[in-house]
Amino acid sequence: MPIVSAEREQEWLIKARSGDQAAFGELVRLHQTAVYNLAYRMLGGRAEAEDATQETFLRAYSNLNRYDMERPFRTWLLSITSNFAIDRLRRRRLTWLSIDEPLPPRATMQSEEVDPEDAAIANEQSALIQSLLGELSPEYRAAVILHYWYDYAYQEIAEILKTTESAVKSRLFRARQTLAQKLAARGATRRAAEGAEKVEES
Amino acid sequence: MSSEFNDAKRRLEQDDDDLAARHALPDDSEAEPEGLPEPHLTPEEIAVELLFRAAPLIEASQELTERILTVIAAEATKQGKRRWPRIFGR
Repeated sequence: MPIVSAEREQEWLIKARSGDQAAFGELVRLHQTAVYNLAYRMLGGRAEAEDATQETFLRAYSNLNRYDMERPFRTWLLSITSNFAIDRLRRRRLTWLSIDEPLPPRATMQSEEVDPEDAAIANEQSALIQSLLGELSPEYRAAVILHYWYDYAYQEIAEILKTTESAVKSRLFRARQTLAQKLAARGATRRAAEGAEKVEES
Repeated sequence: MSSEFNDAKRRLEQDDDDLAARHALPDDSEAEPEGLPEPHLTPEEIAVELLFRAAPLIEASQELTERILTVIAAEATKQGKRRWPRIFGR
């Protein structure tokens, strides 16, 4: 993800609020991976994640005058994304994600030249993660994603999900227990741990 | 278990926040589980930690950026059209 100073981002926000589309475009470029990753991890498919990302930015653009400049813009965006995704999942009535669902080609590739064995392990890990996330309720899933991928503090996750800090702690605790049980049921505990180490090393 | 696995296990068990989280379960909006869990992570829970912490962000494509910007431009045009009648009192 691109790195931009807080002052620069603030400048773009002020311009975007006064109708500068180019400035809003910069904000899209800055935050789209964060939004897309949350949408993809929540919804489990590329097409739906792209729709959710587009909808997030469209809603943000249409409601920029309601955005509180004191809050981090990314937190606000992720709040829109998680609401949208949770709503989608509820309407979908939680159909279980299939481990066979195709992954986006760039899902885990960090560089052009990747060892085929590492790539295979990374894809396997990625499929396992998506499959495990699919076992969680939308609210638990959102808390888990914001915790592991964004390193947000409990309080920040609570703000994004519009709940209490203790509810977030509770969700994360229970989610980890559920994920551990599901992992064990698949006999994938050792494989997951070793694969994760291998992916981190590469 | 590999030494990395054991190191990770130790790190996680020493994580104060994590332990605090385990002891901060009561909440108005959630059903409280019976009793407090023991403050040790099981091998399965450690595997979950390792698996999820090692997972990368999935990057959005350039095509998606273009698509979003096109939609925003269309929305801006639509909003502009809505504003004109108001400005001229129509």
